[in-house]
Amino acid sequence: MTSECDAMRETMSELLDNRPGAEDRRRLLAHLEGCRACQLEWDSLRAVDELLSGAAMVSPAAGFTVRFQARLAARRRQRRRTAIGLVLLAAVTALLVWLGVSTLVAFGLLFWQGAGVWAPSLLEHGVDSLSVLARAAENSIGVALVVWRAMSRLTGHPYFLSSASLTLLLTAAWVWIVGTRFRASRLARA
Amino acid sequence: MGDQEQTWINSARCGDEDAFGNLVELYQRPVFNLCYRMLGTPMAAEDAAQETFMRAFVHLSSYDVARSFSSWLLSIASHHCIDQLRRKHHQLLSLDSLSDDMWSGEEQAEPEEIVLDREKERAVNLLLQRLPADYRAAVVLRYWYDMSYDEIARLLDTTVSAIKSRLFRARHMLARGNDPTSDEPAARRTLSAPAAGGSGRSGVWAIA
Repeated sequence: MTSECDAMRETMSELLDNRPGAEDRRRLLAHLEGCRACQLEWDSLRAVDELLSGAAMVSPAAGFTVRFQARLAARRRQRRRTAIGLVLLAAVTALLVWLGVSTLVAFGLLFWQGAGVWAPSLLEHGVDSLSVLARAAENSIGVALVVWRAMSRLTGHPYFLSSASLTLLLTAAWVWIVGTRFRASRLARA
Repeated sequence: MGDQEQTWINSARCGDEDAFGNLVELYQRPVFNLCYRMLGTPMAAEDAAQETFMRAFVHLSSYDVARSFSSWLLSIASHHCIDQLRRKHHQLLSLDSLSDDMWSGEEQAEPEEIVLDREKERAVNLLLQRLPADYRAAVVLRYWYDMSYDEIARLLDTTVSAIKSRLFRARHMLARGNDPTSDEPAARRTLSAPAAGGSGRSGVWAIA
């Protein structure tokens, strides 16, 4: 096969699309006269072209639009469920985190205030520290509620500020992590 | 673009699902056919066509009114199918499953004509399955949608010369068969075999 054959073969493809100019067309026909390999190629190219040109458009099974509308409705329901789920998740997370953070902060306050009572260390007084923990937890729920009620007056208080910002941060992080995981798993299934 | 279509598009943009349903009704055939030619089975095509319309509905706000709506849809469908083919590259389609189920509805007494069409259909599918995804897209858009190189290039986000060479190489591959050492054009063998009954099938298998 010569380099002329190479060039001719590109022209063949264009000829099937009615693209080449009169000059290229004339050159191709002249080349085909004398080149058996290109003649064979041209015949099989034309056979493929004929087969593809003759193939009709295929229609989907009846009811395609109805099935699409069902999909749309399912998607809408799915989105609503996801939105409700995320709001619930955020609410529950915020509540739990708020309690946890309050406990920690209350425990910190108690430890700091009562350092003199149960010194020298937590390790030596394990039982004591457990009861202190229990007291702190009990305290924290009370503190959390009080803080919640007195929010307007306490917004400047470091206890409230630290608890609230930590709560917001942890809740947002958790909802974000769960949300992206959920999306990823749904995409993987699709 | 018809006024009616423009009205539907505008309503659909405001979230009117019924208006979008009209567009689905109008374009289901070209979109489904593209997916079918790309993916090779009616089931995969149904799924891809549904997904195409879903994406179109979700991203309707990014549709550029200056373009034709049908090319926009076909562009979404082609890109989706090319992605699908690349992702499922390893899961080669079983040749026997091709186009068998789509005719199952009219299986009873098959007139000669349907058998013939069916064999041709199978031959077309087998031919297309041999092409890489982006070549296949160019061939399908050229043959079933009668698009110019320019339109195909715009639709597939590439250049006219890339489309030209894809069509040239695709045709060469189809004419030659997959074996690069074979010098005998394969398609002619297939097509000259009578495309009906058992002997037709062996002809079709010859190019597989």
